[in-house]
Amino acid sequence: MIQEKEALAGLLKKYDVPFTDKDLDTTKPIQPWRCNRKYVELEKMVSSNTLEHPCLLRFCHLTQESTSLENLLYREFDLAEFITGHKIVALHAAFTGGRSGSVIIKLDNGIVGSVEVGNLLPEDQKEVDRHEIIARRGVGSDIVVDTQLPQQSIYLMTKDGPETYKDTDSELYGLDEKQIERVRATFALLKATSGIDFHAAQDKHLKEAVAAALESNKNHKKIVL
Amino acid sequence: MKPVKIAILSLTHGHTRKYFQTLHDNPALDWVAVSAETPEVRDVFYHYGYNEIPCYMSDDEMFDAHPEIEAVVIASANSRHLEQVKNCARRGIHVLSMKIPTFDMAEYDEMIRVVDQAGIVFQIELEMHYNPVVYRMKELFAKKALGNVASFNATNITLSPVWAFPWQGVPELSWGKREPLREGDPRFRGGALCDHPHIFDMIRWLTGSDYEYIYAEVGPNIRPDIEEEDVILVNGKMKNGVSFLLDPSWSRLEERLKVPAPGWEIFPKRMEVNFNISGDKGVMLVDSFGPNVYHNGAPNDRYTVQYTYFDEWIGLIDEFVDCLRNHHTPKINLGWHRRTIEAVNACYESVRTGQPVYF
Repeated sequence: MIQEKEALAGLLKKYDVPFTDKDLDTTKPIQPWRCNRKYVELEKMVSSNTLEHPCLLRFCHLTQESTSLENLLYREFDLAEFITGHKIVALHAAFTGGRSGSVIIKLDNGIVGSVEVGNLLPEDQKEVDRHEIIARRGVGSDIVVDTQLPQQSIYLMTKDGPETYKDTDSELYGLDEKQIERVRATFALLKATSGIDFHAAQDKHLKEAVAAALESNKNHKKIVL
Repeated sequence: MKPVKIAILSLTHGHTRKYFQTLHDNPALDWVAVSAETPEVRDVFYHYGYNEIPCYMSDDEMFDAHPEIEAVVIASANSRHLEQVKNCARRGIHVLSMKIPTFDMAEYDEMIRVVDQAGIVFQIELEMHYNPVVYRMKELFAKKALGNVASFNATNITLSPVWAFPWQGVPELSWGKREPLREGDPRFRGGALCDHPHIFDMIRWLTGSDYEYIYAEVGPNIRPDIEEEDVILVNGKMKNGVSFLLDPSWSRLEERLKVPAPGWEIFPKRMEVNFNISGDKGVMLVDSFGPNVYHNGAPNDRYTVQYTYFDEWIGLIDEFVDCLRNHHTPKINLGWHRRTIEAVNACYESVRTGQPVYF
């Protein structure tokens, strides 16, 4: 956390964004993954019509136990809305033991999507996620064709066992992907405070969607939001 | 810190457009003007939307109109660099140079003299040094994660820029003169090898050693209608015993666009800098520009790598500003870079003689 605060303060100073110490501990709701460049590029594919007329989403996010299913759903629901620019209006969920399962979502323009989530990965394993957009013209994805795992930048294979590294942000070198998301998102919010209301409204909407998914699983019913 | 008043010269280099956002966004810079070599180049510049930046049709016209300019990015054909460096030195203007100051070693040494006499900062754009994956490699090398390095193999392979940046396809403008590759070969120096010095630099930086000997071989062109080499392989040894294999080819075919745009690539990934490095403790595989996101949508419905992480120019400019304001010497300066240019020239000499070249 200290590392993130220092990195954020460094960026704010570098780009002449006024801030107070309190700003570095902001607890305002944000959806930080919207600043992750791989999702920014997927969003661009849709908004710039590189992919024309998306019809189907195939999302997956598997983590260790320390991440709750609710947090995974919150993130993936928001990514579906961010990448497509449309809202979730209905869903049907099926979970097992509160640790694993899926949701079928429907967006306000008719796009449907599958969201696989789970937190049953062993502690020493890297997260697995995949975001695929199938359109009438083209398929976009953050996973290379004919592979199952997200790629890394460096694979180091020594007698101490394999190690991998993925470094993506030279200004925030040393932070991991999630830390970079948080620092970049907070920086963006402090730079353009007009985003605060949007994030707060989105937070409320996403919490309702997550609650609806839990209710759908419990009652075995499709829920219309 | 007072922002550096900066301009770009010529606008004809393939990397020119990569500076636009950084010069626009970085508060340490005040982007004053640009000069364009032709009206066509000027129109392409304005196509990117920076309409508030005045564009002049000659360097001198721009300098005379803006005596406040402190520094420039020289973004021209290699053959113009010496003349532009001299002009900047006369005016006391600091220089951020493209990756090749010149391949003519007499010109190179003249450049060193001129820069030293004028006392200006001269930084060379080898942007891999500011790539976050390379930061990690440097850290792993410093920790000796691979123990003693045995072999260092690297690619710097791309599509060919000659259709969008025609000077790169003209031997006199790229390598400096019309020098045949070897007796009986209709091609000339100035192609892919001249475009890809990065891995020749990176092996020196990471191993801390110098070249012992270098051997190079060209293949038949995959683009038979250009008059320079487009596929070439290089191997040899460093003085510390590390063997190396370098591939600086233009081995990814491209659509022959006049202005780079989506759909430029035919092979899905238009550019890669990868490393396979072995040491007595293990092996390291590195992709400096990956992972990314992928699609097969517009404009050509071909499977395409859409680059996702690309911010080398931020760190490069940060260093340049620091050198100007705090009187530091750039990491990649003329003195350091000289051996890399000699290594590239040694590859051509090896192609000519068919034998390794010793240093």
